[in-house]
Amino acid sequence: MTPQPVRALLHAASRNRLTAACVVFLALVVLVAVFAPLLAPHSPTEVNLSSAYLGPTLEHPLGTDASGRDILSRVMWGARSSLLGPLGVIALALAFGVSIALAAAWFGGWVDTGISAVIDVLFSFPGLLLAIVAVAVFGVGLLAPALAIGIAYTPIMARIVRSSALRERELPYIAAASVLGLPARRIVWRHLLPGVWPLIVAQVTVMFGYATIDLAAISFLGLGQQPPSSDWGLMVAEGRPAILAGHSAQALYPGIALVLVVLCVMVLGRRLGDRADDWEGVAPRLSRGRRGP
Amino acid sequence: MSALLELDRLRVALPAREGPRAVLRDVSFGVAEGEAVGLVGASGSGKTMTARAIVRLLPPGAEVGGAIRFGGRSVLDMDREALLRYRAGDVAMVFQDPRTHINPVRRVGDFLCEALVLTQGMGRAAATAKVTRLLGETGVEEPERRLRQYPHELSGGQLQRVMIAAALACEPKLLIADEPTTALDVTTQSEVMAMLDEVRRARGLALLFITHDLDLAAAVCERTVVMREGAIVRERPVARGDLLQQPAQTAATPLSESSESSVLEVSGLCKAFRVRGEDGRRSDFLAVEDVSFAVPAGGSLAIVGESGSGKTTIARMIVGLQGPTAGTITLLGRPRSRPPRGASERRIRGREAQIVFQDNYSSLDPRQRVGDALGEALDLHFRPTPAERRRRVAELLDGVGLKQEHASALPRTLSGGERQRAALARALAVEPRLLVLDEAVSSLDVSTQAQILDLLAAIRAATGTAYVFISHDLAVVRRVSEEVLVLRQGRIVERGATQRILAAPSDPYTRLLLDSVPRPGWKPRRLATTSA
Repeated sequence: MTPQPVRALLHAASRNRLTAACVVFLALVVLVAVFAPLLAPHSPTEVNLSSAYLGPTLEHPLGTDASGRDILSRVMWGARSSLLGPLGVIALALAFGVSIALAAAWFGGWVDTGISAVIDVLFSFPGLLLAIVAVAVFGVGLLAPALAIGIAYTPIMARIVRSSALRERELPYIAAASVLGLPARRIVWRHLLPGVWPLIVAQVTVMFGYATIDLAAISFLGLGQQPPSSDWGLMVAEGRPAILAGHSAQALYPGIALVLVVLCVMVLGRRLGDRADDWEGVAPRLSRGRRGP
Repeated sequence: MSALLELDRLRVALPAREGPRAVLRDVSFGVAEGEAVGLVGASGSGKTMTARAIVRLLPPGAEVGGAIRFGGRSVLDMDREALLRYRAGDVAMVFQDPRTHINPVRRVGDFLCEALVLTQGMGRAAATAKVTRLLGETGVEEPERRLRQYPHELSGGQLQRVMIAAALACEPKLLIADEPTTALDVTTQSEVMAMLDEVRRARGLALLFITHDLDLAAAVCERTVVMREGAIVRERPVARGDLLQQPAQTAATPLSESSESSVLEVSGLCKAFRVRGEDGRRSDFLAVEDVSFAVPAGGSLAIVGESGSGKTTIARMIVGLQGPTAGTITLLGRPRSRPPRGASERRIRGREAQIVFQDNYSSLDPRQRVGDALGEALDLHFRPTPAERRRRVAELLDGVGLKQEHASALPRTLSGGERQRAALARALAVEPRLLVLDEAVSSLDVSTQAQILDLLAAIRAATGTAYVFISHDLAVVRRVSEEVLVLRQGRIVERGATQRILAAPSDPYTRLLLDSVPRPGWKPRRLATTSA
């Protein structure tokens, strides 16, 4: 919608090595996920029981798992569902959370009271339990848990955006747009939403991290992606028995990938949040409401 | 008299993207013991930076050159210990907005006693006794009760008196007052300045009084130093009183009471707000009570009153941002008592009346370029071709005295005056029949105020747009309106021709407002009729 978060992020990355490292790593993960069929040296699902539990070799840099599948290839393919799931969660929370929050802030009065009540009710739904119920109803896979967690994240997004939008709505430029005769839809989308956009972007990155973990947990519990999928959470679950037998690679590498992705997203989320004020140059706003020069 | 404070070729540069930017250039002046010096300048002239340099509270990364001496000691060379003692006992500071300089969650008494207990080693009881006495001195009524109250329970005037008492608590030799009355109403300003002047003389305290108002400085200071662009200059800046001295503008159209030619007719207007009283019970507070007036086509009516008089509520009701509780608002013969139905009615109402607000920074979308903001208004109402649109944007910018390159500027890169011109251009883009100006010049420098007021007069003469000009300042009214309505606590106390009211006000409250405006030869007075 706006290149500003990207510009802000690149600017932050040029100033800070940790931020730069996170940007580079995540970009790599995305590239690997997209081009996994081209990049992966082996098929992620090809079973070869004679080469089970191989150590790192040139042919299998991260070794092989209990079924003799190449771990590196599986981790690379696994990036797809491990990124796609959280993206779906975010899309859902964004679409519902932001729209009801803007509606509440714009209309105020009983609309706001009603929406706030719904948000409070949604808050009492624990994400993981909701996901388990969703799996019970819709069956295992990626869709049901992502849907459930997306619904569980909606009130968080809605509450944060609502409070910020309420503040923004009180500013004279919104009043001026309204007096000008601009349609409400245009004021909300072109003036109010961009005003809270930095906050939304920061919130989205943090949520992405949590969603990755929640979905991995669901896969780990056996309710998400099913074998022979190479979802990272599932790989950790499948590799668990092998750890006791001294073959830790199968659970270790997808685990590391998970931790690194979440860590990087969180770091970037915090950077964006810290820098949100810089986007519009908030400093002169501090003098808001003073009467004297 | 020996010099208590001496600035010798003080230079300050602040870090900026393009390298250090000089904000103070060779500033030299002195303040003798017991002397009051006024430091006068427009915003951005470096007066606040000078004050911050004196107490060594400059922003991080600031480069400082020259010397500051206090009682012969070099302030810039003080070590941590000496600096603490200097700040605790020698200088004290009072700021513009008392509300942002006091901890809102602590009682006034705790705030006042803190410094005495910490730096003077006083016991709690002795400190309380002392601050009670100080509050009496600074004119705070019922000091014992105030000590137990929280800042939000006090009015702005009372709070500024508390801040002055706090500044006096450690018996400083020099008091730096940075625009201490700018956030207050004119009548409160007069009272607080009178009190400050008395207290200072009684204590033999030196005062560095920072203000943008030359007449106000002249009224309480023995000497004034004028700053511009970070340096001391000799010339006299535009004073607020100059606005009052200007010859009254002749009425563009004769005043008429008949409703035939009225753009705006307001009759029996009331606005009630639900408030929760101290006992927790809800009651209605009447912000506007039975207000009626009319504005003729091409005419200009000023509504004057202090904060809380209901003038902004009236402005918001005229343009439809709030609905009236009772009474009618009729614009161009069409009643406005209900919210608009549908997009076309919104547009029609937009063509009828526009508004310009006080807060010039937040009046423009911070993400929208000035040209786009104007274009948005034009697109909505006229659907111009791209070429027409460019031509109209250029005309509008020209009409409010902005340059063509301002079209591509973001609001934050403009000065306050430029932003207010842009907001004005946007309001004029739809060619409204009525323009409501809600304190539209109040946040600007006196010289910028004068320019915008002249611009408003020229626009009215050229386009015949009628004005409702809302202000707390009687001085600026004369330039734009031939008729004035004085509002107090939601009610009209006086109305009539501007010239008549400025020359011979009949209501005591109007006289009070008028007497409180600083002008040459003016002295602040303690006033009996209001309590600050």
